[in-house]
Amino acid sequence: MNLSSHPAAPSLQLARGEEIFAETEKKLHRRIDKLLVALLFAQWFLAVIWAATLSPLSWNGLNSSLHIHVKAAIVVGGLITFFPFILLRKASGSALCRHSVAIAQMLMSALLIHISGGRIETHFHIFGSLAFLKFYRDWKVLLTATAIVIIDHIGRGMFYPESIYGLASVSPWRWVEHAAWLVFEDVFLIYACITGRNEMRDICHHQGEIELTNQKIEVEVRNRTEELASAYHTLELERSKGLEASRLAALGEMAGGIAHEINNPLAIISTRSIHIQRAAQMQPPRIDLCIEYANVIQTTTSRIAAIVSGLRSFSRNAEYDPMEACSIQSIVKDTLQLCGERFRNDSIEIKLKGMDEIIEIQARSVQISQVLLNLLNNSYDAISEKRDRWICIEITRRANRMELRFTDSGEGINEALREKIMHPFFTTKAIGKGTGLGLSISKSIVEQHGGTISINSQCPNTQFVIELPCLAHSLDKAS
Amino acid sequence: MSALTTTCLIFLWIASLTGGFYTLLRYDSTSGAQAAAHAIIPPQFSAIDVPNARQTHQFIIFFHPKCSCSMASARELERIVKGISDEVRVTAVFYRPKGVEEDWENTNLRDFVQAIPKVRIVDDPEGTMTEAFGVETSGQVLLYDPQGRLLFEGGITPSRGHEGDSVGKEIILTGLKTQLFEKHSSLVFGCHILDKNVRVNPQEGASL
Repeated sequence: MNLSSHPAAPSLQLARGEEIFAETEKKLHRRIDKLLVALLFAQWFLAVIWAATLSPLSWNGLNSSLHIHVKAAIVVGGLITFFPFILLRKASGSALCRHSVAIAQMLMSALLIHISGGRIETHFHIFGSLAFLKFYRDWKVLLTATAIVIIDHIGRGMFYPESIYGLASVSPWRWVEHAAWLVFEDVFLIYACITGRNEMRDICHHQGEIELTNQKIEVEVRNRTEELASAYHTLELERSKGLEASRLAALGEMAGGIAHEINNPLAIISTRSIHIQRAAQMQPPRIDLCIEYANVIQTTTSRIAAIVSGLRSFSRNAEYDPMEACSIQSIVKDTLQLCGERFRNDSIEIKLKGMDEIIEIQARSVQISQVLLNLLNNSYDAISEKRDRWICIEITRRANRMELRFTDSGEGINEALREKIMHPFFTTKAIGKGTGLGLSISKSIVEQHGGTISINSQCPNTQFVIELPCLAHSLDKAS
Repeated sequence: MSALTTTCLIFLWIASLTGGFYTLLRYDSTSGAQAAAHAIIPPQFSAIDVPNARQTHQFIIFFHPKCSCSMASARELERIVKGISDEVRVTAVFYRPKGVEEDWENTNLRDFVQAIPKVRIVDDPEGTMTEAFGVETSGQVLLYDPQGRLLFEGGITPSRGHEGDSVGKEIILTGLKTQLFEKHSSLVFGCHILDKNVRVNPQEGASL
């Protein structure tokens, strides 16, 4: 799905942004809840220490008892901290928790002011507390805290003004002066809360936007990957078809030769059967000749059977055959058996070197045979019109690899063609004569076997070099 | 947490805190015993050792050296001294019980008061002077005119152990400036200087 083109994309982004903002704000509130409740515990502890240091005892002559400030620090300080702590455990992140922390913080200020004996300096605790509460980025919390202080001033101003202003008769509006200082600080803190919260919201909306863009990219990537996989599958299918087509084309090219290959033995069989008839009609009948001719027929029949078997084997799609140990020399021989007659008919000499040592490779013999057949067909097309016509197949061992040099009497391949000759559908043959797939498929087959196929530009003739890994036991035999 | 539990907890929290602060406030606002001061300076303490005692106002404040609440009185004393003329003779009387170690009365409170300019420290062994002046509460101030007549008796803090503007301070500063004392007393906040069960002979003691 293309999200950016989706008509609901902007509202989706907005909704996701708000969702992230709500999560982030909740996390912030929980973190500050934890921080400020820890601060309340610390203040409680300090209040007890402070009270015990400033006013440890009340005196009556020589008699003393624990001062009420110490008791108040322990009991009232504990009570102040208790409720926010419970809410932190049960409802952290809730508005109730935030506001209870704000109330507790202000009450802690009141306790500390009491313990310090109403020192002016301790009153700064209230302003510091408001600054701490600003961490919530919730301006309503500041109003709650301020309201607590104002209510305290109004209440005590009405019922016991000495305790807060030191004088029995004060103006009923005296609290306004005290509240004004708090409001003065609140204005800045509330402004900071609102801007801070808006910035947080903006960041969350950006994050939402990024998330949705990422999702869009992921969908795009998934679609493209699926398309690529499909294209790769199609390509594989086409390659397989190409392989098959190339193999059949090679076979087609060899068809004439194969016909010869079978016709000649058939002629021999026909001739020998006439000879047998004649030998049988001789007086007395020449049984020995009959047996001799029958043996020739049998041998020739076996040759035909071998050709047919090779043809059948070659025509089969061997792409999914398992790799098996086989001798490279026997693959060469089997291949030549299929097409040898064609070359002999055109007086193309086939020279074989290194056929005595058996070198084994792990291969699909039909596929290697296909490579050789491609090379043989190419050579045939290239040299059949020349005066000097020969093909040389030389097999040698190079350390743990087998090297097969396939050379014909051609003048070699020029540099411009050498680069293109292995490309699919590239051919120098006349239209309709070649598929242009032979060498590219041969390269693919050799590479599937862990080998390489290359053109030796140093050779004055046309020379292909095929390298394939040898089997280990083949190496042992050699050593 | 259910709404009911939360409501109950809120109620419990508010109620317990109200109780706690009320107790604290009540303690702080509970004044000590008012002095049964004589209308004139007790004769055994008048003019002794003070040649011109009759020509100056006498500002006498009584302290229990270990009363931590009285630190607020000491701070207010410092402010009052800054606001009154040099004609007023300021004396701080520090109680010293019998049989206590030598540095018993050497406390932060005494050090603080000693550092206030124009304030004379007088030790009061066994509280004879405190007893003679009828004083019971630490932080009690007695102000006499040059003729030895009592002008004011009371405390100079708004509540127990609390600094700040107070009725007593206001009466003293205004009275000394205008020579008119509309009120003659205020509440005094602090520890008991003398153990009520122990009484000393007021005829013996230090001089002003």
